[in-house]
Amino acid sequence: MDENTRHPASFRDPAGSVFTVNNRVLRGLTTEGAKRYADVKKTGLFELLEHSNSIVQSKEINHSAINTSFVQYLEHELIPFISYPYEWPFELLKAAALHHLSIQLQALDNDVVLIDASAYNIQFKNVSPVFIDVLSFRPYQQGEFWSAHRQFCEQFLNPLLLFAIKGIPYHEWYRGAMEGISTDLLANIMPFKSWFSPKSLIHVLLPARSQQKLTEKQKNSTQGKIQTSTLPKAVYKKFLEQLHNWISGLKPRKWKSTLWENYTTNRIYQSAEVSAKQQFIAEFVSTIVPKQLWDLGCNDGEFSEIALKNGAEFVVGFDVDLAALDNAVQRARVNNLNFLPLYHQITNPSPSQGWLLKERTPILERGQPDAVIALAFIHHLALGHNLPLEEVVQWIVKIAPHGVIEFVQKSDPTVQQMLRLKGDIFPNYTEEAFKSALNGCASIIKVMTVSETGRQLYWYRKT
Amino acid sequence: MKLYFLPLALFLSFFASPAYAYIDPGMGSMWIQALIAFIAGFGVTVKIYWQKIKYFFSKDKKDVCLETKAENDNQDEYK
Repeated sequence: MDENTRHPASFRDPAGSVFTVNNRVLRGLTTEGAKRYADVKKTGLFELLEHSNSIVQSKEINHSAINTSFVQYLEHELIPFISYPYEWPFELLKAAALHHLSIQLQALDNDVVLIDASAYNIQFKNVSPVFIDVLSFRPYQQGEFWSAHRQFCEQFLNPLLLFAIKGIPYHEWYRGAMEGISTDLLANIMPFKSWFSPKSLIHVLLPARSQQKLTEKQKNSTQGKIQTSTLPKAVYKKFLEQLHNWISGLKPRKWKSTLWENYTTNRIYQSAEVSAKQQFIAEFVSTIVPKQLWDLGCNDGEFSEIALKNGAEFVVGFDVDLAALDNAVQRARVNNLNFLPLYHQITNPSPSQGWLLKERTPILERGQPDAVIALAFIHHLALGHNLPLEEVVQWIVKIAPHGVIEFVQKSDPTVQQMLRLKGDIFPNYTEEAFKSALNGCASIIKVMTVSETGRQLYWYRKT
Repeated sequence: MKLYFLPLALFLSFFASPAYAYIDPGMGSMWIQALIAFIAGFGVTVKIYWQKIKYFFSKDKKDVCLETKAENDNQDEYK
């Protein structure tokens, strides 16, 4: 193990680095890092947060030297699936923001603070947020400011406000910018009435304004004053509490109900078809018993839940409908499911990006599912996005060794609706073409017709 | 007597050492926190003066805030 195995995103804090080796996550600490870790550990905060599953479980280990600058090593528990803030539906980003603030408040009670507010330091175990960077903690210094306030706003608050106040989902902007939504830019589009809201003034408008309007001379003199001023601890705490209250009440602004929001209750096909589908998925999952299953086009997680109840250990769901995804988060919370629903545009998957194009890992490299299900899904890619049917089938089969794909006939009312305005420019979208594509890369195990309109489920094994 | 020390305490509070930070805190964000700290300090000062005024006009002068009395007692010790 050497410096080359360092995690590509672990470079910001010189006091330590994370290494992933043989499916283990290790952290090397420098003298400075080890001191910081020991100082915080003495306060009992780590024990408290580990006990409530608020932070990643860590243990001190003896390890041969990875790098001469490291004096101590920690090993962290594995997170089942790494996800990024630009993939989190509103409910998950909100949960992450509240989690960060709760940890800050508990830390402050123990005279500890967080030195940053990176949203990437939070991961999800199912839909429960977990803080993963133990080196972000350090002892509180009397009178210090919250130095990560700006970062917190950009990575948590601003994207939530963008969606809650303006009705603009943050995902594409966040993914492009990677470090969140900048306060300066958000301030430009905040409505006039927000000038009368103390919360908007304090966290968005005034910080942005002071950044933009002060002259260089004024900035220098203000910086001097800021460097020598102090913030009483009680005010620091109040600041965090008010932010917590504000975020707790935020909801995505909806212009109208989305197409798939009430899909489970409004769908066109009949309940007999649904139960036939459920039985088929139950049989498939109980035969394969996947440790990790991916549900492409998971909607509100109805079939993810069926999979989990029939032996799947963990399901990652992907969809583009944000309202349906928030319902899926709710389903996972209420029924306590090992399920992580994520926003994902399959036609433009999360890429490898950031520093050296390696900092953030592409979605397909973040998990090794044993099974995949794609129900009522491929016609959206082949007919809605004009993707070649054969390529769509090959791409899905490549994901996992076992899978189920639903083929929806052209005569199906849903497809007819899709083609009404667009016109039928897809002569190659036939069940024969689908079967031939599937046979080219997999063995078909079982086929079942689940509807009167001829919807077919294909259970296959990759060859 | 202690009221003379409040503005002084506020003034002195602007001379503490800055905290170590490895991310750029952003000036706008720090500026607003300095402002809030100042307003909070100002609020406390006003509150204490207000209590003094209330005490001055109160009919029952025996109803003295215990804390104020205790502090005055302490100051007396140094006379």
